[in-house]
Amino acid sequence: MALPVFDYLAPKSIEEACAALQSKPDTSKLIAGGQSVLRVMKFRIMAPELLVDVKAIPGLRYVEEEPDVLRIGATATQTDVLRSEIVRTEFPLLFEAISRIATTAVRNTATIVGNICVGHTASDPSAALLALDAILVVVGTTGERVVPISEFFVGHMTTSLDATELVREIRIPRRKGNLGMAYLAHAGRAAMETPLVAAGAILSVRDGVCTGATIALAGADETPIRVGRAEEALVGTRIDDRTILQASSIAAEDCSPDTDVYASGEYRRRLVAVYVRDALRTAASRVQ
Amino acid sequence: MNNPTEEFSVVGKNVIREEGPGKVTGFGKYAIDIEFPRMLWAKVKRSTRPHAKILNVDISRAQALPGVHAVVVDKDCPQTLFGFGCYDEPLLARDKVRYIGEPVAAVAADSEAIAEMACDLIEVDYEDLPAIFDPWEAFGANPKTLIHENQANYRRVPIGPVQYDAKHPNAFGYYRIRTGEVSKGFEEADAIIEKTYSNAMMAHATMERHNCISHWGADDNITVWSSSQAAYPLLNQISEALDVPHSRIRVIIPKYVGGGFGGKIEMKAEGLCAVLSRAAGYRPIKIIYTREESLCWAGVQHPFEMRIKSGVRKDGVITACEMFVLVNGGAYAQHGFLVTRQASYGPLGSYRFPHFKLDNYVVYTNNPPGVAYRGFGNTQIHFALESHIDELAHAIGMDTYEIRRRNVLHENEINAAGEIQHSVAGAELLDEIKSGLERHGPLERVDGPWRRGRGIAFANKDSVAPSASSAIVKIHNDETVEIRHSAGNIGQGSSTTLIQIAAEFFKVTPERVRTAEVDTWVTPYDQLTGSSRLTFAAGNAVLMACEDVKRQVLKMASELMQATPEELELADMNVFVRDNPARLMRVRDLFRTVFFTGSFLPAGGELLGKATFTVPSSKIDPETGHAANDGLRKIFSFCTRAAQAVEVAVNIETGQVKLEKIAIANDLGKAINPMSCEGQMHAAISMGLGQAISEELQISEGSILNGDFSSYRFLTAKDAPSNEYVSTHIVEIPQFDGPYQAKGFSEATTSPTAPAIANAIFDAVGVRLRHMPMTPERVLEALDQLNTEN
Ligand SMILES: Cc1cc2nc3c(=O)[nH]c(=O)nc-3n(C[C@H](O)[C@H](O)[C@H](O)COP(=O)(O)OP(=O)(O)OC[C@H]3O[C@@H](n4cnc5c(N)ncnc54)[C@H](O)[C@@H]3O)c2cc1C
Repeated sequence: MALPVFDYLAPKSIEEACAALQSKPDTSKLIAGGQSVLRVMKFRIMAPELLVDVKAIPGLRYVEEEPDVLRIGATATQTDVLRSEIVRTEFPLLFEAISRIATTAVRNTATIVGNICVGHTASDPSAALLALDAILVVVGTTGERVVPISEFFVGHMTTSLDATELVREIRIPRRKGNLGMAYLAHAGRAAMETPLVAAGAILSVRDGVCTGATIALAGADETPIRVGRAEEALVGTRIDDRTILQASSIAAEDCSPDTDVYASGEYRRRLVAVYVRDALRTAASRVQ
Repeated sequence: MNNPTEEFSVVGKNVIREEGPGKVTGFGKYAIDIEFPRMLWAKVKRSTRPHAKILNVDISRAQALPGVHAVVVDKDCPQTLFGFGCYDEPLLARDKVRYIGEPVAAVAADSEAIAEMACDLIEVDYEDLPAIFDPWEAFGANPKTLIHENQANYRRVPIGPVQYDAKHPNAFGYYRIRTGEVSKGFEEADAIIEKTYSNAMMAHATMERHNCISHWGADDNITVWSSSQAAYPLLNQISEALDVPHSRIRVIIPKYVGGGFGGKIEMKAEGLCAVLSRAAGYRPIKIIYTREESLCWAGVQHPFEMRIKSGVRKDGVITACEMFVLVNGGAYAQHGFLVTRQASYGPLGSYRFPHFKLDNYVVYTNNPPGVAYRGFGNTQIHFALESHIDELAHAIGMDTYEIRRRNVLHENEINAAGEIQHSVAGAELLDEIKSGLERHGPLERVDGPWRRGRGIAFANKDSVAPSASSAIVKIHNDETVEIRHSAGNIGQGSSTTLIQIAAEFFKVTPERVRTAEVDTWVTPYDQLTGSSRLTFAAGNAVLMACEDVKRQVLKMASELMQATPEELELADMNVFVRDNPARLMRVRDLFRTVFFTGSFLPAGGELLGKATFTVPSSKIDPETGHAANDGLRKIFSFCTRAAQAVEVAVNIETGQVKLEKIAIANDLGKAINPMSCEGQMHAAISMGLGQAISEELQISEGSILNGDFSSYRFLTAKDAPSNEYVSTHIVEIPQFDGPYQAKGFSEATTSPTAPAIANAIFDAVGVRLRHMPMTPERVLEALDQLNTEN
């Protein structure tokens, strides 16, 4: 369908952007790559009067490493993130998650921040960042706050962001030694499809014993989730096929996937068991 | 009409596509790219009810919206009914709606957005009627509702038996074939298998969405630019729907059309936009269907239910086959009854059936209407038949190649419908795919989640008869050749094929031949781009028009060269005396130049050859479906056959199916352009694979749930098997009456893929899927069932 009529503003600073949102809190909408916003507007799911484009704000397009943290700016595209050497070597889970998104054309335009701000349960970056304990730097008219990603997703297509707030940056803590991570996703075709289910896993192992386990899922519940019981079941055990299978069946029990045109909830639950198992196996094989 | 043994210089060569550079550079113009001054945009207000009386349509608020120039409803349209042989459809819903998505009103406005807003402001009051979606429910003698109460009085083109039967008041088409006595055949059988197969609804998913511009001129002539694949049928439908004679309608199809696959044959909004054009003060009206409209309401592929019972002897010979087929036609007939007819003959082009009985009905339901779709019903019928043949083979413990070899037809054989078969490839195709797949290495069965298996399938596609194509061939004063024909090139490469045919005839390079844009005020009649008919029918017409212009050239030259036309020959635009080639003149010297106004032909106006090629068909007995024994024994123009062998990997945990390897073989008489043919074969793999495992319009109570490209899963390049494991095999069995002995083949390319995959899934994991597409969830469900049984 044709886009509905709207106004467009390209502010030059974060303050200006927040002020614009503040001026029309109910009818304005931030836009980054526009890959989701324009689509939902065309489908008439949303008809904002004002689009506030963050891409013109200088200084937000970066992927930077610091000793303890990797910082991704609000307008860094998915391709920018894939091009970062540290993402490839230190965060293969994130690299794998982003590289399977849609197609090159979509990734060249779409941002990571925009992706997670949609609040979609089947978002690849969301599950990856959830596994990586990312932290979001949020700016509002009253100043900045820091939100752990585990508190960011609050419901179906909803985040804890206020309508006048903006995510300025994603921070991913760097981790040290003896760990392996992996991300695996399942979709109905080999490209151009969000996952039905995806699993990101990080395992830390010392002397053959699991000292830390993280399992994050996309598409397995109303929002991207961590499966705490499955993680706990692994900590303190030896990582082998028995413990991995046990953890994956707990994950399948503890999730609550929806039925939609892409797949039934029951099918997704079966996928959870398979993909958690395989992500854990791959993560375990990568421990170093 | 040509000598098969002669050496060709252009035919059989990999000539690049006429439209290739325009596509690669982006300079090629599609209908969707065209805009005009003063042009307005149209939108259609569509029904939200599957079956309801229209009590009132209030357009006042839409009319009052600034920027709106016209709003029309049924009473503003000519009170006609249009169709494709069964005339049942108004331009806008009349008195009632019959499917969700049916056009109820239309708007012309300054922009698409305003037109859409105006549609939202139109209020329609409905009174719901009972709705039927299930074809079996529609089929009964006392259905809960009649979808077309007045069906008995509809105007129809009589093809085959009487199509309306009060015993099945929702059925609008019925074909039957009777050969021998099936009960006798079953008595002779060592094994009898009876199974039902079916398929879901599918979309054509063309890249270029349906679109057009219609302009009702102040001179009362109507000009239409459309992305259609059938200029003359469109012209005819516009004429019937608007009650305007052909001569006042001009249809232009740009040289670039982004796909058709059968989905762009019938009129879509062309007639309606003409009505809007007049209502809006003779301004050009453009419409571009949304992706949802294009996928769901511009015609879909018909869902079939196919019950097959066959008997087979231990030696693999099929003794009898009985089929009952029910086609879900949707709310309007459109191509439904022709698809039904064509599908009925599908089995008979593949195998020998000493006893055969088929009943095939198509019924109205409150689903969106079905139309032609690449294969024209053969995709469905061969999915069923080829799955069934494997089931027969397994019942008698026979190799799946062997059972097919035993039963495929032979050259000049008369099939079970009394039709004589020409250019028959049977064993040749099976041999090709067998060795083709073997070249990709042996099947290695492994444990773990991905299980491998192999399967094959055979298929065929008849091309419509009667059939007619016309062509005009003009030689310009620079000795280049222009072909005027109306056989739209929709991506399949037909223009280049026709160029090669003409270039070969004149012994010139293909660069010196071009085709004109399809324009019914300039280019002559062609039946349609469909039924794989262009190479054969338009190709023959072009060849005949070339001969016609050559005759004129030789006659004119004979006067200048003091020789009779019979003594002269034409090659590379030189006219020479056959016995003394040194005596020659150039074709361009037939033209004369005076002063500075260009050149002209001293007599005859232009070097213009004209011709019509027609294919007759035999009279067909409506009771038995048999061709009369009239010396012709012809039901179709020609038949093309295809076979494929595949290797799949099936994931027993997720139900996913991956096509790993494929050998694909087609018989096409003579490959005019082998590269183009291989291109069609490669592209067909993606399409066939989508049909097999993922493409499905999910529908609930008449409402399509996934009318967009994110959830309508047509496959991507990444889903196709790696090129290293794809082999294409062109089998050339001369078609005696084809141009350079060629025939069309492209529809048959997709039909074997799904059944070959179904057979390979069975080989890999032991489950038989009888419903297309074989989605992961369906595969998993079948595996679960197998596991509980064991
Ligand atoms: C064809 C297609 C296939 C896709 N496949 C996948 C896939 O497989 N996996 C996957 O994970 N994703 C997929 N996506 C989503 C895609 O990756 C984009 O990330 C997503 O569409 C949004 O990114 P964007 O930058 O375009 O954001 P926009 O569409 O511009 O914005 C998205 C949302 O984020 C908000 N927003 C944007 N920037 C900010 C900010 N700085 N602060 C606060 N809110 C902000 C907007 O208001 C809006 O609500 C697909 C998209 C398409 C079109």
